[in-house]
Amino acid sequence: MRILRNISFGQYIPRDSLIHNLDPRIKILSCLAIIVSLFLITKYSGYLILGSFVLFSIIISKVHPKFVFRGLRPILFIIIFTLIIHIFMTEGKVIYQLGFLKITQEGLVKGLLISFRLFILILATSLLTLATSPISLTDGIERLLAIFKFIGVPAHEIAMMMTIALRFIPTLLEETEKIMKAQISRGADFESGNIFNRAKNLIPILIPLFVNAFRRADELAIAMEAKCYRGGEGRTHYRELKIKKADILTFAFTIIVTVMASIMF
Amino acid sequence: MFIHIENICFTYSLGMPFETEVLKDINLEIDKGEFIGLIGHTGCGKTTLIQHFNGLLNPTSGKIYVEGVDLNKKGVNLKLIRQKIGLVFQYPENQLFEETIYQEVAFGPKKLGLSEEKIEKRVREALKMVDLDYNLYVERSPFSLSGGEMRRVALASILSIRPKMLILDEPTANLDPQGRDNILSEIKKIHYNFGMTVILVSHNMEKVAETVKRLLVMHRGEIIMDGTPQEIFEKHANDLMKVGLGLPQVTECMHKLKAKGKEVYTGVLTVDDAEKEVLKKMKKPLKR
Amino acid sequence: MYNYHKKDQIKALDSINIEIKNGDFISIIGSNGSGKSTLAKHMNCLLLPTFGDIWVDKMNTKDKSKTWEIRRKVGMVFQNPDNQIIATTVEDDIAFGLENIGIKPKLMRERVDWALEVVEMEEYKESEPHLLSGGQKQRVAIAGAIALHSSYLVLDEPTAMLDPRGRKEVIDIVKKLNQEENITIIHITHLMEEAAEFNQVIALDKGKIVLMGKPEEVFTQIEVLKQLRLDVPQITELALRLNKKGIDVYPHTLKVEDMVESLCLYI
Repeated sequence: MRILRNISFGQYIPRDSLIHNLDPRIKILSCLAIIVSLFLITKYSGYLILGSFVLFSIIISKVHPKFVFRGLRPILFIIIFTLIIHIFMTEGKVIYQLGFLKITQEGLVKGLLISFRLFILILATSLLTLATSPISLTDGIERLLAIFKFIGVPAHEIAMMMTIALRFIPTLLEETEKIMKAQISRGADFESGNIFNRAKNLIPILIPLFVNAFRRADELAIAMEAKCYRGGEGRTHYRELKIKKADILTFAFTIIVTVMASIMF
Repeated sequence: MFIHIENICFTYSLGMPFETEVLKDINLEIDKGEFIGLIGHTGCGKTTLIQHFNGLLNPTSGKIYVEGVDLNKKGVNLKLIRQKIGLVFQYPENQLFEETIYQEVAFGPKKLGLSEEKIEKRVREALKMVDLDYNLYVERSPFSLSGGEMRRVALASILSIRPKMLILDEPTANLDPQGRDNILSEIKKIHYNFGMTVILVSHNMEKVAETVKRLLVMHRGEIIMDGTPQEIFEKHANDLMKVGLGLPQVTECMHKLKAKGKEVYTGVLTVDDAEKEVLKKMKKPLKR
Repeated sequence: MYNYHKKDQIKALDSINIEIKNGDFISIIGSNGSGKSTLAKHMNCLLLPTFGDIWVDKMNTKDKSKTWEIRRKVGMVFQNPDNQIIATTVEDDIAFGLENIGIKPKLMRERVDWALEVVEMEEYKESEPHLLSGGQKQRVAIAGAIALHSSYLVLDEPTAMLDPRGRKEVIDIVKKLNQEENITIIHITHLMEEAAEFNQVIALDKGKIVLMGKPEEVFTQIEVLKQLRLDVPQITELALRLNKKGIDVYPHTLKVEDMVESLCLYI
C-alpha cells in the first residue's frame, strides 16, 4: 500500500562534477543545441560525433550510467515501434523477404538512424535533469525566458508555478495515499471491476483531493501575500547565477561539436 | 478476544536506503467492549499500528488476528474485516466527497450492497449516533458544514457500516475546546450506549486519560506502558515526562507534593479527583 | 509603537480597540468563529476594516502606498505548516520574503543564516520542507517572517496542528524572539495552558473583546471563560475550588509549583 513515500521529485543526483557545477542556463542551452543538431544531421559520422559527445558528458558527470539509461525505459516502446515501421515500410533494395514482409536496406538504415536520434535525445535530457537540481533548473528557465519578456512571456510566473508544483508534489502524493486508505476503510474498492467502474471508483479520491488542493492554494496565496509577494517586478534572487570561465568554454565546445556534427560531415 | 497481535514488526521501504523500523515487536490483546486510549508523539508509530488492524498495512513479521482470523493468511476477506473495524482517519472531514450528507453516510452501506430501505435505516441510525438531526441535514451538502459538523458526518459515514470496533485517529485535532468536548462526549456515548469497542488515538494525554478505561503509551515503535490511566499516572509519571508526553497539571501537582514527602495519591486525572484528594489529606480541620 | 484602533460594524469584528506596544507579549484566545483570525489578518493589511482604522507605527493600513511596508513590519505565521512553505528547500523558503522586497543577494544570505540561527534550524538549511516535522515546519515559517526584520509577529494558531513536543518548540522560539530580539508577539491560540505563558491575554467572543489583562486576571474568570466555551487551566480551577472550601491558597495560581508550595502548608 505504501507506494508513495520518500519519493524525491525530479531525479536529481547530487555529485561534484564539472557538469553539475555548470550554470543551469548553459546546460539548458547546450541541451537545446544538441537537440537542434540531431535534426540537422544527415550522415552517420555526425551521429557518431554527437553520440560520443553525450557519452563523454555522462562519464564526466560522475552519475552512474544506469541512472541515465533508466530514462530510456519509458520510451523504449516508441523507439522499437519506429524502428519496425521504418524497416518494413520503406521501399528500396530488398535484403530479406518473409511472406509479404520485406526488409529493405534503406529502411534498415533510416530506422536505425531515427532510433539513434531518439536515443541521444533522451540521454541528453536525462543527463540534464540528473545533474541539475530542480531549483537551479527552475532558476535557469526563468532567466532564459526573461529574454522573451518583451513579447509577453511571463517568465517569473512560469518559474513560480514550477517551484510551487515541485514543492507540493510530495505533499499531494502523501495526501492521495491517505484519502485512498480512508476510502478503503469506508468500503471503497479500487481494485476490481471493469475499466468504467474503476474510473468511477476514483471519484471518492479525486473530489477530496481537488477540494483540499483548492484550499491549500487559497491559504498559500495568503501566506505569499503576507510575505510581501507581488509578482516578479523588483524581485531579487537568492540564488545568483554567474557565468564562469568553465561555462563559456563548455558552451563554446558544445557549439563547435554540434556545428561540426551537423554540417561538416 | 477481539484483536490479538503477536510480535508484529513493521519496516517502511524494506531493503531501500530509506528503510525505517516503525514498529518493533508489538504484542497486544484487545477484548470486546474495551475503551482504549493509544497515546504517543507524532512519528511514534501509532498511526502505522492501527492501519494494521484492518489490513491496510501488512506487518513485516508477526501475526494479527481479528476474532481469531489471521489477517495475513491467503484468501482472507479483508472487506469483511474492514466492516468489523471502523477506522476514522485524522481530519476525516478531508475525505468527504458526495453531494449530500445522505449520500455521504450511505456510501459504506451502498458498497455492502444493501437495499434502499436498509440503507436509509442505517443513515438515520448513524446520524442519530452523532447527534445530527436527520431531517435537517440529509439534503445539505457536506461542504456547507462547520468543521466540527463535518467531522461528525465523517464519523457517521463509518458508523453506518455498523462496525464492532471504532478506531479514531486524533478525533479532536484542530478543534476548539467546545468542539473537542462535543466529539469526546459523542464517542463516550457510542461506547457506553451502544457497547462499541473504541480506540482513541491521540497525542493529547489530558483529555484522553479522562475519557478512556485503558491507556496504551507508545514510544519509538514500542508499547512502553499499558494499564488504567490511574495506574499509569501513579506509577509511570517520570517515564511519561521523559518521553515528553507530559502530565495533566493536577497530576503533576500531586507528584510534586509526594516528592516533598507528602503522602498523597498520585493517580488523579481531573480537578475533581485532585480536590477530593486534597480535602481528604488535610492535616488540620478547616476553619470557616 | 504599534497602535491599533478599530471600530467595525460587521459581525466578524465589532468595535475593537486595542493598543499594542513595542515589546508586548500577547496572546489572543477565543473559540472558533470568535473573530481571532479575522483580527489577525487586519494587522498586516490582508483584510481592511469596514469601519475604524488600524495604525501600525503611525501608518494607516488603508493607505495603499504603505501596504508593503506594513507587511514587512508585521510578520505572519499561519496554522497549517504545509500551506505556508513555498519553496523546495528551507533556505529558499526563508529567502522568499527577502526576494520579494528586493534585498541584495549577499545581504539576503546573511539574513537567512541569522533567521535560521534564531529558530535553531541551521542544520536543516538545505532540507526539503516535506521531510520536516510539524514543529520544524512552523519554525521555518517563523524564520521566513523574521528574516524581513519585522518588528511584530502575528501567529495565527501556529500550534493547533502540532503535538505537545512541536508546541513546546514553537512556544520556546516565540519567547526567545520576544526576550532576545525584542519582537512584539501576538499569539493566537485556543489552548489555555499556552496562553497562560504570555504577559497579557485577550479573550474574544463574537468579534468583541470580553476579557483583557494579565493571565492570572483572565483565567480566574472561570464562569466567563466557560460561557465563552473555553477551558480553564486545571491548576487555576483547583485553586479557586479549594479557596471556596476555605483553604487559603492564592486564587490566582497559574503555576503548578506555586500550588504545591501553598498546599505543603496544609498536608
